[in-house]
Parts: sequence; structure tokens; C-alpha cells
Amino acid sequence: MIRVEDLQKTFQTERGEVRAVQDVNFEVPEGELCILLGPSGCGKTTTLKMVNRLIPRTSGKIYINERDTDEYDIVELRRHIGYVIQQIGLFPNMTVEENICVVPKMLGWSKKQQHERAADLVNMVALDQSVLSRYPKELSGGQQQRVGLCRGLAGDPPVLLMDEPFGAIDPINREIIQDEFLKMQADLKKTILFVSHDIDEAVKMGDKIAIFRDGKLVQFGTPDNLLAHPVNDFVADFVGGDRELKRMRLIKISEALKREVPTVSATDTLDTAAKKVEQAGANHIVVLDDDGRPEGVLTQGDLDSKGSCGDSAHPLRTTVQSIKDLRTAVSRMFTYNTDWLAVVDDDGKFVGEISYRSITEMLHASRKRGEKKGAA
Amino acid sequence: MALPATGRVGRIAFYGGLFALGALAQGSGLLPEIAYYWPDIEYLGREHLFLVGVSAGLAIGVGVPLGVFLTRPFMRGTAESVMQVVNLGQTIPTLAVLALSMSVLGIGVVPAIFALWVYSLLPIVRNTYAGILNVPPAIHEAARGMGMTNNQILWRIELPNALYVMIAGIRTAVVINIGTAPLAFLIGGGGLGQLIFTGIDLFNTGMMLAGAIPTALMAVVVDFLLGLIAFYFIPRGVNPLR
Ligand SMILES: Nc1ncnc2c1ncn2[C@@H]1O[C@H](COP(=O)(O)OP(=O)(O)O)[C@@H](O)[C@H]1O
Ligand SMILES: [Mg+2]
Repeated sequence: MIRVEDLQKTFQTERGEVRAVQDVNFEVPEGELCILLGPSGCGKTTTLKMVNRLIPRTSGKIYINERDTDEYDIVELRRHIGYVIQQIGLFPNMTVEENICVVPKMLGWSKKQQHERAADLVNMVALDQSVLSRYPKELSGGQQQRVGLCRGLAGDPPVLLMDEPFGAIDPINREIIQDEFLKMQADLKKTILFVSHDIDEAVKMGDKIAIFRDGKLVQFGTPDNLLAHPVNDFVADFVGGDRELKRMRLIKISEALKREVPTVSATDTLDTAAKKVEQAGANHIVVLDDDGRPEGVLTQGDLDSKGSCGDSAHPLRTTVQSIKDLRTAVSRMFTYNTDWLAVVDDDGKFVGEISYRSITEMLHASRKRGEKKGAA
Repeated sequence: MALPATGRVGRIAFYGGLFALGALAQGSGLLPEIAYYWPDIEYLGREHLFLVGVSAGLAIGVGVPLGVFLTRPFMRGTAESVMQVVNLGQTIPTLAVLALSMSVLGIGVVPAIFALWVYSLLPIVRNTYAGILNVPPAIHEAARGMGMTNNQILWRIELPNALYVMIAGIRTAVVINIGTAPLAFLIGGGGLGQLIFTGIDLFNTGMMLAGAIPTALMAVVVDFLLGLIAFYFIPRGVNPLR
């Protein structure tokens, strides 16, 4: 847990005082990832560096696991907080393995433990074991950033500070590393402060987001809360005019899909299908094979003739997995010019349908819930 | 660092010159004349090496810690002014340094070593200082943020990363030292300068070359050896030669 109370930082410069951080309060629960978000120069890095005391505070308190950071021995504090800096900052004189093992070595791990840790970590960030013996100058920017991440995680710190850790990576590789990191975090459950200036990254990675402006914390909440209920124009502008589209990223299809939809098997008669369609007030019905996988679809026009459903069904042009987000569903609807999709589970079995209507209702309902929560 | 490059050009020029000299020496029958001084060369060469070894060793022993000291945070205000003085010191002619040294310490080996020490100190201090200050701030910050103590940062981060520049400074200092050491003879410090200056006084070209050529050879060989050390000893990650 990280708790920040009345944090202030004023830099004295030749051009006068710079109030980099003013009256900042927030708390990150154990195991959560909190994004510090905002435009350049708004005080994100300064806030982060006050946690591991690289920058002394002007006033205020920071607690880690209910203990005042001032009470820790400074070196001890830092060795138990993983730190990944914006400029990567790998040590050029050390191999990748030596870089990763800096903290484990200081913590007195055995040679064997250190080596195993380094090997595990590079594996986790999808790098080849051969990088271990290389020097930083022999790696690409993206590889260096992954090594920087390994180095921050090496001592298995409960708390991690990350300053734009994926900033130096091209957009495609950034997505990949973000996904890898989220997978890792699902296992590791570190308490993380993560600086970013990219709203998409924040929405994707954060359990909580803290939006800063000119050194002040303007809004703190879950990504969905921020997108659905920005507190002022600044936040609304910052999260973007397409914020409802961004919200769709946060919701899984499984949360919005309609499960009670009629289905028929390939051997059923068209009569049976017609009855079910009428009962449900639908305009189509999905035909399943013996294993419960969607095989085709019948629309109202197909139901007037005689025969089995299997013979008259049109093939389904596409399906979507229930673990994907709403954005994927909508994108696929656009691609195939349809207003509904058959949803399948990991094994390809039919679990329900999703439509434009169910999506808009879902977004609206969760916005309402958020409003009530906000008011309470 | 432009140093290795100029070093290479200088060395090529030197070998060329050496070859020309050799040809000239053989043609004019100088070679046997030089060989005649072999026992002197051996004895004075050893003295020469002693002067160089002691003064350069002391210069490294004092210059490196001094350079490091000047980079410490509490020296931030004064370090730059000290470096100004150090750089100014480098512009004082060698002879003047010798003269000053003699006027304080008298004549003999000690004032000679002192003067050579002062003269070699400067490049070593300067390069150690610059090498450490040139370690990128991000690397420094990462090290501090990971909980390294100041000592650990110095030994594991700053010195290894400054090593290439530091050794370049030591190389410059030692080569200058070897080339300057003949002047030690002028204040009674001995060394190959004895053959050179006596040779000049007596218009004895053979004698003069018997001092000059071994001096030059010594500089080349030592520079080459230090180059080898730099090549193999500095970790690959911070070694621009590899
Ligand atoms: N060491 C410093 N001295 C003076 N001003 C600083 C210093 N560090 C940061 N600032 C100022 O504090 C503000 C916040 O900086 P920073 O936290 O780095 O912003 P961010 O990380 O959000 O881009 C900026 O206006 C910056 O110019
Ligand atoms: Mg920043």
C-alpha cells in the first residue's frame, strides 16, 4: 500500500519558485497499479521520486505499508522499491545479467539464485537467454527497456515505481510489452505507481488513474470512472472526445452479452426454429453443431420452407470470443456490416449473442451506476 | 576522445621518422657509434625508467583520488576553479617547472621526480574528473534509486564508466613524462638526458642519438603497452575500441 498525504514540492530556481507538486493526496491499495497521468511538466515524475526519496519533499507524508517513508533507512527503502526510470539508465559497464542482479547482489543472494532470477526475468519479458551475457550497447531500445523492467523487478520488491517505462518503444512493441507486463502483474500483484502521459496506456494498464495538472491532482479513480464522469473540462479534454469508445475497451464481451437467446441444432426441423424465433421475438436464430459450436444462422425468410435447419442455414461470417473487449466486438460488427455477433468461449462453444443495442445499454447502465456511486 | 586518433597519427609519423633516422645512421656510419654507448644506454636507461616509474606511479596514486575527490558533491562549488588552476598549470613550460622545483628542492633525483610528478599529475586529474562527470545523470539516478550507497556508486558505476577516459589520461601523462624526463639531467636527476645534452654540447651526434633514440623507443613501447591494457582491461560495454 502507498499513501500520499498533503504532498508538496517547491523547487527554488533562479527564476523564482516552481510549485511542482501541490496538496496531493491519494492511496494505492496493496497489489494495485496506479497510473500518474497528465501532460508534460505537471509533476508526475517529481511525485514519483519523492516516494523513494530521490527528491526531498517540501512537506507532506508518504507511507508505504502504513510506515512513514522517513522512518526507513534511505538505502533500505530504495532496495525494497523497484525503480524503472524514464531514460532506462542501464549500466553500460555491466552485462545484462549484472545489470539485472544489482539489487539481488546487494541483498546478498547467492550467485546461483542471482543467475536463476536473471534467467527467469528475461524469459518473462520474452527475451532470449543469450542477452544475459551481452552489454546494453549491444541491445535495441526496446530490448533495453525490457531489461530495465527486469532490473526493477529483480529484488522482488513489493512496491514498484515506473516512470514512462515503455516510452522509448515503438507503438507495436509497446502494445506487446504492455500485454506481457499485465500478465506478469496478474501473477505478481505488486503495488505499482506508473507514470504515463498516454491516456490509452493509462486506461489499459491502470486499476486506478490519478490525473495531474500543474502540480495538482484533479481526479483520482478507476479508468471507467474517469472516462464516464470526468470532473471538469480539463479531464474531459485530456481523456479525449472518444472517451465512450475508450470505455468499451474496459468492458469484456462476457459482461454485456445476452445469454438467453434461442438456438437450434442442425437436425431440428425448420418448424421448430420458426416457433423458437417467434417465442423470443427475434429475427434470426443460430444453428449449433453436435458440440455446441455455432455452425450457421437462419433468418426469418429461411423459415417458411420445409426441411432441416442444417440444410437451410447460411454459414456464419464471423464469431467473437467472450474474453475480448467491447471494442473488438464493435470493430468486428463494422467489418462484417452486421448489428449482432455470435459469441463463443475459449473452446469455440456458443455462449450467447452481442448486439449494438446490448452494448449501448451496457455503457449507459454502468454510467448510471457510477453516477450513483459518485453521489454517495 | 580525439586522443587515440592523434596518437595513431603521431605513432605513424614517429615510425617513419625512426626509419629515416635508421637509414641515415647506417649510411653515415652512425650506428656503430651509437652501439659504442650501449653500456651507458643500459645504465642511464634504467635511471630514466626509475624517474618515469616513480613520478608517474605517484602521479597516478595522487591524481586519480584527487580527480575523484573533485567530483564529490560537496566539492561542486570549488571543483571548477581547481580545474582552472590545473589547466593553467599545464601551460607552464616544463623548464620553468624544473627551475621552480630546483629552486625549492635543490638538485638531484628528488626535485626531478617532483617536477615530472607535477607535470604528469595534470592530465590524470583532468581526465579522471571529466570521465566521472561525463557519466550520464540517468545512470547515476538509476543507481541511487536502486539503493546503492555512494561508495558502491563510485566503485561499481562511476569508475568503471570513466575508466576509458582515465586510462587515456594516464597514457598521455606517461608518454609526456618519458619525453620530458631527459630534462631531469639539467638539475642532476640523471637519465638518458645525460647522453642527449652532453652529445649536443660536444657536437657528438652519435652520443646524442644514443640518448634520443632509446627515449623515443621507450615512449612508443610504453604507450603501446598501455594501449594493450586499455584494450583488454576495460570491460567491453564501455570500451569504444571493442
Ligand atoms: N530539479 C528541478 N528544479 C527546478 N524545477 C524542476 C526540477 N525538476 C522538475 N522541475 C519542474 O517541476 C515541474 C514538474 O516536473 P516533472 O515532475 O518532471 O513533470 P512530469 O514528469 O509530469 O513531466 C516542471 O515545471 C519542471 O520544470
Ligand atoms: Mg516525467
